[in-house]
Amino acid sequence: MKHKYIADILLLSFISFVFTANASENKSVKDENVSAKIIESDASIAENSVAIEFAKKGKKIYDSYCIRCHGPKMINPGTVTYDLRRFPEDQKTRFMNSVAKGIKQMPPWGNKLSMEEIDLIWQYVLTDGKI
Amino acid sequence: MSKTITTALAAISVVAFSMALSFSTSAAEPSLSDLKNDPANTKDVLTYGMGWEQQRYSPLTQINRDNVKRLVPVWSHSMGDNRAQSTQPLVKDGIMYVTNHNSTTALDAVTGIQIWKKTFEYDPAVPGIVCCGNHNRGPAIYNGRLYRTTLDAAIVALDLKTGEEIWRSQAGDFDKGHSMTVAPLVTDGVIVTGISGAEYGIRGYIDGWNAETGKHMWRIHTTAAPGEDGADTWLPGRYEQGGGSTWLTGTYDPELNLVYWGTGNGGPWNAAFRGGDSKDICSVLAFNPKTGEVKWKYQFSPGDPYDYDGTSEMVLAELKIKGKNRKVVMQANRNGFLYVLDRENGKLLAANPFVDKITWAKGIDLKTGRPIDTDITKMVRKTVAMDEPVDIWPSAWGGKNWSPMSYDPVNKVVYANTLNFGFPFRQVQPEFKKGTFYIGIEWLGFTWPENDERGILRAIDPLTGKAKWSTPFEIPNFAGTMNTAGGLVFTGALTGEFMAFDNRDGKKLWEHKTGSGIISMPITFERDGVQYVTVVSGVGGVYPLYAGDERMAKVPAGGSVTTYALFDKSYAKK
Repeated sequence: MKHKYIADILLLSFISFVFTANASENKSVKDENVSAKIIESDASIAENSVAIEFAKKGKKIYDSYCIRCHGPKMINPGTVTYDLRRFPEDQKTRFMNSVAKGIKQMPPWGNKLSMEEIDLIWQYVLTDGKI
Repeated sequence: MSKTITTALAAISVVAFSMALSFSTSAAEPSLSDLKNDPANTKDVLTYGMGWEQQRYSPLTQINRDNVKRLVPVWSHSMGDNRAQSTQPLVKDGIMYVTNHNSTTALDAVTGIQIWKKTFEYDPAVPGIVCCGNHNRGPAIYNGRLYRTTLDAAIVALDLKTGEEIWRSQAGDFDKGHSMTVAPLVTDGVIVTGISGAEYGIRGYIDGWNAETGKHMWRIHTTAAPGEDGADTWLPGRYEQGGGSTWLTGTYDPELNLVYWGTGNGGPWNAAFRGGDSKDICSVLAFNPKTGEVKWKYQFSPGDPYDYDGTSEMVLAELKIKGKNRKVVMQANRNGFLYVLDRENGKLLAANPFVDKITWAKGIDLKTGRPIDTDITKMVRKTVAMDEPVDIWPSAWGGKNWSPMSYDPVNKVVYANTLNFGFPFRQVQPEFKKGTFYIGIEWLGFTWPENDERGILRAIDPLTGKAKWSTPFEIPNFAGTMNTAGGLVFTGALTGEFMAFDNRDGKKLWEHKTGSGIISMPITFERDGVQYVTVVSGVGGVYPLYAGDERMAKVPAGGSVTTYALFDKSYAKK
């Protein structure tokens, strides 16, 4: 439920940010895990803006690879392709695997994107496209 | 007594002879002359566009504006697929042929019962290089075969009776960004196809194939290499990934022996990066289908700063201009102008706005054939990386997108689903990375009109661009139109309604909601004295993907074919 408000929370409250980032952490994804790095250190306003920087990098990748099916700013009716704003924020592993290996109609992207890049897209997905 | 016997014997021998005749000729059907006569033949629909002219007009009148309220579904058939169903079925001898991205199906046209179905499998990576969904626009049929293209850029010939594959020829490499959705065009012994992929850094082309063997015969490239005509309209090397895809079916004039085929957007979209006019993107090429030799060409949108593909239907008609009948080719271009050209020589006869708001050009100079740029366009043409975004009307989706208009040869108007919104964007330095969008712009969504009439169905005078009537829609239509001598214009809504309008005033007379959204091309035909209308439903394409219209969340995916007839007529046959 809180998922809908993540972008607003990011801007307003670093405490909520830490909570969110914790929720999205998953130890099974070992490669350069950007969100894991963020939560290892103390939360601060500075890190909040770091998270937004990561999400912005993720948006750039999203805009080249994902936008044509998942929509500008992730706005998507969710009928023909998946509405990423509904993606459960505590299922990062599922996200990383789905993108890397492909799922249903989505092609595999693991040979075109590094795990770091997919991780950056995940940071953007956590914002519901609101940056 | 003996006279009766003689008559009976004569009748039997006539029947036997016609049976033998039909048996001996069936493998060669439809013949080239059958295809040529398609517009007048009300029993079959043998060609994309309901005729090589692509007028999408039928002389049938059984269903008309007085009785269309009694139109009811006779049968429906699931395509068993959730992707975009943007196809046009064909009908021959009571059998309907329908395609989508991964299947070809033959159905009994009167009952909807499946006769055969063949499915394709392709590499799961293929949908990663298509810009706008997994489409197929339809089959072609000729000499006992069905021809279609595949998403992984092949053309295949199937046996019309069984669906068995006869030959397959590769037209491109999906790993390099090529894909195919186009319905092939049959000409005399030569099948013509185009290619998709201008968002993925391809160099576009049109191919000719031997209909019998699948052997490649010729290729016309749509971007000019050094030494070719128009090479100086590109910055060095840029033609190699210059786009100019050819993703919609051309028209054919057998008397002039010319095919008219449109070319698509530049790659990347960023015009300043390509430099100059970028010939021959966003053009029409008129060529000999036997040899691929281009007789004349005309560029609608030189340089193409705004993704104004020139691929849309090149409708052929005869129009009276200054008291003289002219053979014309016309196109309602994405750039918002409706062009009429003399199809013998490519001379521009008219180019008028068919939408209300155009901000990229002030008009088209009939003498030079070139657009008169606005200040915004002058700036965009020379700025590879822009600091501030600009808002351009029509949007990158055009004043009309791919969904074909139809031409009414009686009233001399076209019926088109036009689009009414703008496109804010910023050009950025393009970076080519294989298998990704190569457009060199930052996409900022759309500018919607204040009255929220995003789409308008219009009857348009092709010579003036003026609307005879306009019927607005909040959610724009992306289906083709078809018109009939019964005074009706048919089209479909993205929300699923299949609709019929009065061709005199655009008043909606009838609708029936199908299972999903409609983005296909309706057809009509008659069988045993009953007129049928068929439409394919199944949402997809650019609008649900990119428009960010939350109302589309109420429209489920799911392909199906539905055929309609008048209530009493349809049930009288049961």
